[in-house]
Amino acid sequence: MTREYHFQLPVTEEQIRQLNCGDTVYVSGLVYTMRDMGHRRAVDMLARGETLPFDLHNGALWHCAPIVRKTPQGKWEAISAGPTTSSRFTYLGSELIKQLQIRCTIGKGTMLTKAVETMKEVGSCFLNSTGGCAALYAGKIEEVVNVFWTDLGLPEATWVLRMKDFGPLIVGIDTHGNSLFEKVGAKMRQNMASIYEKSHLDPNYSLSYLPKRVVARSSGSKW
Amino acid sequence: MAISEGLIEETLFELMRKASISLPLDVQNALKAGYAREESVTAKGQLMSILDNCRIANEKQIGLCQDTGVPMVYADVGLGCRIEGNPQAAMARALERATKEVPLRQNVINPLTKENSGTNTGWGIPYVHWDMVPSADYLDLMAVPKGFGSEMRAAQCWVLTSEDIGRATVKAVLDVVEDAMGEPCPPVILGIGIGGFADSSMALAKKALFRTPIGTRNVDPVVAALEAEIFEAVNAMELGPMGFGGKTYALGVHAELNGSHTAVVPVSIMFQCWACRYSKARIHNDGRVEYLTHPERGSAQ
Repeated sequence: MTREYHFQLPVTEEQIRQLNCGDTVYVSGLVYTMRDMGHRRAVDMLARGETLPFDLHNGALWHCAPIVRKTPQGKWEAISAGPTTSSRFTYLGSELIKQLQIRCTIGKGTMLTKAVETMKEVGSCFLNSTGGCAALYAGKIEEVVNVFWTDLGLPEATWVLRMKDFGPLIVGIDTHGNSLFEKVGAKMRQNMASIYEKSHLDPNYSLSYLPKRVVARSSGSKW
Repeated sequence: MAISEGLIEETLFELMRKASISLPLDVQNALKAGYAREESVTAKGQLMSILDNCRIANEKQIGLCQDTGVPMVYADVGLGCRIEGNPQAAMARALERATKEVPLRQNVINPLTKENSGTNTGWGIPYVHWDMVPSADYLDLMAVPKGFGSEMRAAQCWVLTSEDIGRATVKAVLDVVEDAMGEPCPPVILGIGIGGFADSSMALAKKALFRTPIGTRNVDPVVAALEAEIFEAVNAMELGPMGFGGKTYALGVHAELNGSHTAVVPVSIMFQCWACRYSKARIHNDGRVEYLTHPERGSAQ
């Protein structure tokens, strides 16, 4: 039986440890966006012993880059804001979760094994926002409170958004080592046998592809 | 009579705006049909959020997805029309304006220095795919703000002609879908290019994404049978909307075929997320503009 939770950020470890994959969560309070270049910068700064200019402790990080515009009064507003693919942040994100005790990582798709392990250890979760639903979620933003690292380009900057009832978010990774994608993947692998049979295919028939692996280093070390 | 730079700029600006805000009608209908088909609370919930999102974007006239892609334009130029000036420059101006006024996200960077132009142009962007139409006196433009969550899932494999190319194509699609799962924002449209060259095969797969209405079968019955088989197989994996499980992973499977080498055949696969944004217009040589996918201002309805 799945349950529904409404959290005010920042949250406690105990609040997150009660969640199970498939539960629905709504969050209110400050949410910080971060993407590829921001993750790289944050991990590099921490590796040098520096402190980030914003506080993610017990907080929520959103894999998102909003469409933004400056009002005539010079204040930023977020027009559309939805998630980007989260598997990209598996390694750098896990590093940040571990070092900063980030409690909620919000994104789409999933984060891979390394993140599942880290979340179990730290007491942190992955929450799925629906990909592409940027008009829906922009309506949950009360205010763009601040922005950091605009030198990385506006999409790669960290936007501090005050959210009201941001959701429904589905728990994709809980603190018990479960991943929703793992569960769906297991069902998919079960289904493959009959699909292959119907299409007269040998499951072991292997094709070679152009290299398409995305390259990302897992730590703050230099090339 | 001629088509001016100014008219191209104005039309492409309007197309980019329309495409970013509302989906073509057949895409909306396919999503609604998916909602009706699903039974689980999770799958229905995801499609409900998607349908709500589309309604809100249209009401507020804002981008329905924040990833407005790297600007790409399909231009089919009739050889009977005359274009004045530099259409590529006109298109770049349209994109710069759209970036400010729609607005679009500032996505385009120099891949090495990572400098962001802030205008969604530069370093060869907007990318324009030119085709010619021999006996026409119009210019068809199609703006495609395609998100990169689905773009980055594109794959290509090469199959020896000692193999059954049809079987290999099915296997290739199953492989890439098994790997992609919910990441490219399903329900997706799958484009498949069989044959041709490394580059043209991928271009074929991409253009197939925008076949309308969704699910229209290829006229070649052999290709059509393959499309139907792959459509059924991919949905039977039960990955569902956003990969949380369900019946609706693919809204359509569109395959195209080109002649290929007797030794080896490229098979290319393209994903299009549910936010299948494109808008098309026909600019006649006399200056009339017909908006084909979005006849109303900002709306496909």
